[in-house]
Amino acid sequence: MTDAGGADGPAPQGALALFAWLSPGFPVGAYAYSHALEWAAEAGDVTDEASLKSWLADLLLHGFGRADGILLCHAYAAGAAGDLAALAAVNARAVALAPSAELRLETSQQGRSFLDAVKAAWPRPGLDAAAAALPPDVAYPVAVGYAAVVHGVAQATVLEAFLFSVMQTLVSAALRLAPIGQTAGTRVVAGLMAPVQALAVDIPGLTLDDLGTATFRADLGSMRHETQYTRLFRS
Amino acid sequence: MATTSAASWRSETAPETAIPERVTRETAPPPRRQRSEGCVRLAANAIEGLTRISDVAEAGALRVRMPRGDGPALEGVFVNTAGGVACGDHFTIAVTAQAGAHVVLATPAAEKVYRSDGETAHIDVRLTVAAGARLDWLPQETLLFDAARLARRFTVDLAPDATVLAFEALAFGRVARGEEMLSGHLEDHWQVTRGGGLVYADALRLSGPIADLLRRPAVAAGNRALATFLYVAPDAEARLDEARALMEGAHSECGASAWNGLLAARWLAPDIDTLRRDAVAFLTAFRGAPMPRVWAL
Repeated sequence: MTDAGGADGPAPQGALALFAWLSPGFPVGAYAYSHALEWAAEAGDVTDEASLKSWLADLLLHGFGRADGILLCHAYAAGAAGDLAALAAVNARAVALAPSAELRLETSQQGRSFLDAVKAAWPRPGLDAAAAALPPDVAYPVAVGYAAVVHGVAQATVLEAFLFSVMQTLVSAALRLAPIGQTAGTRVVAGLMAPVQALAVDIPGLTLDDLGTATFRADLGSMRHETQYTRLFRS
Repeated sequence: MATTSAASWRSETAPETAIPERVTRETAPPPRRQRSEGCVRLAANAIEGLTRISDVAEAGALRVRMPRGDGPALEGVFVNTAGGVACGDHFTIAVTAQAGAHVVLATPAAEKVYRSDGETAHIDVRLTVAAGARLDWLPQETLLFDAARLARRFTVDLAPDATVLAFEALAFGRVARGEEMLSGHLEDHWQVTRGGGLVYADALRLSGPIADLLRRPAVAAGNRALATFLYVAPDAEARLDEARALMEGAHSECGASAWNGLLAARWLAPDIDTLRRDAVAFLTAFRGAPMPRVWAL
């Protein structure tokens, strides 16, 4: 097995880089996307702490959270094997799975920005190779999984951190969309920790054939968001 | 009940002698059902603007009928002679529209997927659409009974300028008869390539407590019928406004989006009748043609 870091090899590191990569300040523009929460708020599905927590738990366990986790792990494995063709195949699948124009933009714009930012500030030959092998549209979980393996971050660590940060981003969006206070939002984030951890245990053994989501209505909502009258978010 | 004959025909019990002496009927394992397999391969080409069959092969419990169509397109109707789909069944459909051909495919009734004793039924559809050709995939809905288990693969390979228009509806239990799909398994994988590159993938996965899942707002908010429409064509993105206009006044929750040379739409309704009314109105106007005649039967 060759490492994806290429000739210079990965310098194993802990979780420190993830605090930067997955922070709201990292230049991927995460604040611009709501994954159709804006429509859910408009439609009256997300109105308070309880409905927000329930909606997000479904997106996590039965929706794009689980799917992105599987894709992240497969990108990680492709990187660990130094297999750029496999990486490109996982990315093609990930980008194609976007169910609407806005959700495609959400994942592919963040993924490309993430890869470019890590490449610029945490350079590695493996990142240059990936940037060259991938098309302009890079799915966000694929970029994160690959960058993590190149930098020697453990898969279990990046998987958990990624899922948790995605949920936290959506809670931040929800606070701007529904009458939910800071404290309630923080409680929702804390409450999602256990399901994130449980999901992160289940995901690593899953194959690309296990991909699949049940959140049909949330995806339909992302289509309807495109024509929503007032919009703060790009998705 | 319309389904009784098919269901009983299909759950043929093992002969009495097959039950070991010391095992009572109550503790005996469920009898092994005769599995159905069916396969149709169909190819069509265009000669002087008319589409004709160039190859057809049928095996097992699946047949294709070609009613005389009104237009230049070839209409194919797939008939499941087993009367439905049950555990462990495997049906395969492979259709090729050669250069310039126009093929319209449908089914004569809802495809019923019955309760499974554990095994998952498989339906694999592979459509290949060559340069300048068009294929319309318009089966009637798939009706899932309680405890049904179905894994479906829908794969389309398009030439760069080919067109596919696909519509698939799912009904979870017969709402009008007070039936509900409480539990079971559904996975529905779509993959579409254009010029060899993957352009669209979708994987719907509902497993375990189906009724509970469907009640969740992000899943279906209690709705029991859903449908997906996909149109991949050179003019797909240019038709988004038109598609949205055609959805105005619908009773279903529905929406459309377009990107990367394709247009996708979805419907969600309390029951399949509501969904069919909305989807048929949309499909008829969007295609500029009536539904295949079998839809009205």
